[in-house]
Amino acid sequence: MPELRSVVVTGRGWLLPPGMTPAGFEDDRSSRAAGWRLDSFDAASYVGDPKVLRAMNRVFQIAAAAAVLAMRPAGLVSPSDLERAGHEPARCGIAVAMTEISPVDANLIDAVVGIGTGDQFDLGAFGEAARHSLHPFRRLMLLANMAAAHSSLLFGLQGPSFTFNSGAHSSLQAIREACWTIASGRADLMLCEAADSPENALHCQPVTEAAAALVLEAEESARRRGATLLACLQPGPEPSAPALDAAPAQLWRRHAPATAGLLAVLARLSQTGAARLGELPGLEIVPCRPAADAAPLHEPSRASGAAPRKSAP
Amino acid sequence: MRTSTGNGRAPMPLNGARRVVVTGLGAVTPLGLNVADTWAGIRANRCGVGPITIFDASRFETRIAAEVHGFDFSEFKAPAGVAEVLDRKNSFGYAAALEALADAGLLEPAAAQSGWGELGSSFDPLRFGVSLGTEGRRDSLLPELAARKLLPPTPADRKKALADVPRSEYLRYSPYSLAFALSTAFDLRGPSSTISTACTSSSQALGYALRRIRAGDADVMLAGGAESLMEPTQVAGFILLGALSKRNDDPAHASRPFDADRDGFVLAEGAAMLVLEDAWHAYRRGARIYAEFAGFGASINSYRLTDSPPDGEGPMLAMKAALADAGLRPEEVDYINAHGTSTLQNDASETMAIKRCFGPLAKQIPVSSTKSMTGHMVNAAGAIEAILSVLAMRDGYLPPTINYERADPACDLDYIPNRGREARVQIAVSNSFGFGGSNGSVVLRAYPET
Repeated sequence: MPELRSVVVTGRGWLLPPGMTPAGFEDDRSSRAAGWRLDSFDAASYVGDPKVLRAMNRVFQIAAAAAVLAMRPAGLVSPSDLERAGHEPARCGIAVAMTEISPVDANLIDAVVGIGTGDQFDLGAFGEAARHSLHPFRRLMLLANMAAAHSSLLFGLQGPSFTFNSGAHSSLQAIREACWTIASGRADLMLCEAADSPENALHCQPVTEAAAALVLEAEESARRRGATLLACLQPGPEPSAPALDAAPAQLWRRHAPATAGLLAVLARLSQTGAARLGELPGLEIVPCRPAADAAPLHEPSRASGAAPRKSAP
Repeated sequence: MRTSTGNGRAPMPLNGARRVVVTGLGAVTPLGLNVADTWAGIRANRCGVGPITIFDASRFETRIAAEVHGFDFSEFKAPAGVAEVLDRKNSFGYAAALEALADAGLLEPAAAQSGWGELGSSFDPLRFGVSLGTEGRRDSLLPELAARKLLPPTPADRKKALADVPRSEYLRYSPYSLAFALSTAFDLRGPSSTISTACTSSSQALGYALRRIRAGDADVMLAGGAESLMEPTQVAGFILLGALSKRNDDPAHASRPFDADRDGFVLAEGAAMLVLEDAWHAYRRGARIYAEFAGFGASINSYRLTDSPPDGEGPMLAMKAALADAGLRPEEVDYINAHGTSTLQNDASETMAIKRCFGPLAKQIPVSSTKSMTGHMVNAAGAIEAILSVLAMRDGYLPPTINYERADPACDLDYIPNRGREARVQIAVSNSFGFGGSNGSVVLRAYPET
């Protein structure tokens, strides 16, 4: 059996309307106040270049902010930091869980209203006016993978990258895939990001604004560069869709579906509200072993019906 | 159930890992409403590009696209709760999925007849998953907006209007509505995921499905993508990026990958689905095996949001990762189905990437872009090109790059210009590179190895 490498968390960041303390993870107001926004959010304090910010819509801005918060404690806020830490860009990737991005945004509505509505709507006039009234990067504002693109540019990451758009399953899929990518030796570092924003979503329950990020690294390279290890992550088998649906609802799942899974992991890392935040299907969080005990893990048996690996005590 | 005789020796596990094979194909493309017609179109050098007819594009800068013609979803008897969440692209996706499942011999006669229903009783639905590359609903937006009066002037009024939209409408807009529809219609309860990485989505969806089967999380995965961007705001968005060909007076020659006079890609619509299966599972049930899905690799460019890196770094990393994943050396590759969009930058960047990945061998490996015939199916591009690569392998026929007339010094490989070639293909690589710098490469191996 091929050996699987141990995966550790070396950075975390999040933005939630109740505040950026762990208490926010279990704030009950999340389930009542749909459409809750990050009122005092200032994108410029995370991403310095105004040109870059103009190419991001709100959900990409808050995703980037969470990523910056997570990469700061890991000491990896620029491409040069990455290289200084001994990381090869091609072995550092990004896994993203993205909210549903609606094409019905303010920019489109303004452009269409400017032309006339209802039966009078003139497509020809729209074709000509679009050049001036639509945002030049409109198409890019609708692409879920733009959060990964921005992080790739901000931090210099060039490794494996995926963007999940599977609703409430997205962030756990992103984390599991990132874990496996490191464990199997395909990358040494994976940035996991997730974000929801009511400004960009067309959803039957208006979403709450939320973003979260984790930095995952191979234990050996994290230890080598002296990083702080927050916990070990062990991915289990990918659960079936009904198993995911039947998992106890995470508190944020209803109103911040893309971010909910990542918030649940962050809550575990903060040792807060764990019981109320539901299970994490297919993922286990265990304390990191002391350096002396660190040895590679072995691939668990994944035959049909095999039980997930039990966590270390 | 369709009887299939099987065509091979028992598959040997590779490095202790489960091997994954392709056992079913389905497609709806501008060249045909199924795989056979699409492939016949490719073999006849047919180009699916023409004037945009789905909406009045007469005053748009780009007025051409590769549309699907003659598709009538009312012929498919999807269950009511499923049909109502399907938009145009997802209807293509449903039709392609039905064809792929039938092609793999997985539909009970009743299900094949009705267009939905449970798969054969020998299957555990919990071990049959779905992995798709799509995005949210994008078509018919303006008429819908006008009809539903979603355009009141103040934000508060708009919010109120949005609240009046029925729930099924929201599901129609969801990126995962096709996954929902397929799992519901065919009772697929295994791992389910939707990946949205622009032009690389369905390539990465295949990669995710490969992983699920290898890891033992599923025995069979339905994987692929669906696309239709034939909608005024979407076409306007692409025009603003300067990405589309403006060869409006000569649509059949607008998609000309690697040619010196290329001026952008041509939007296409359609869907492509593959049934991927654990090799032993396929062997035991006597399934016809098209090819082995041997490896997948992904990367991200860290270059610019829309531009391709001139040094081809990201695309090269994806190809190298895919070959490493398959345990293959560059010299073993017989054919590359290029991303080849027909934009100035992509084609030069991809050429550079192939040269850096394959070194001096690059000029000996035939490379072609089937987008010269199908147009660019964006979210479905990776899956349709994987299917065309599988068929190239099956028939020993390398599809050409049509419309190749004038050589570009920046593109100096063997692009199989204008005429297809008979050739034995053991290993094929299919590339997909997207806006935002997301890259994916798929490696296919002939089966059984000869």
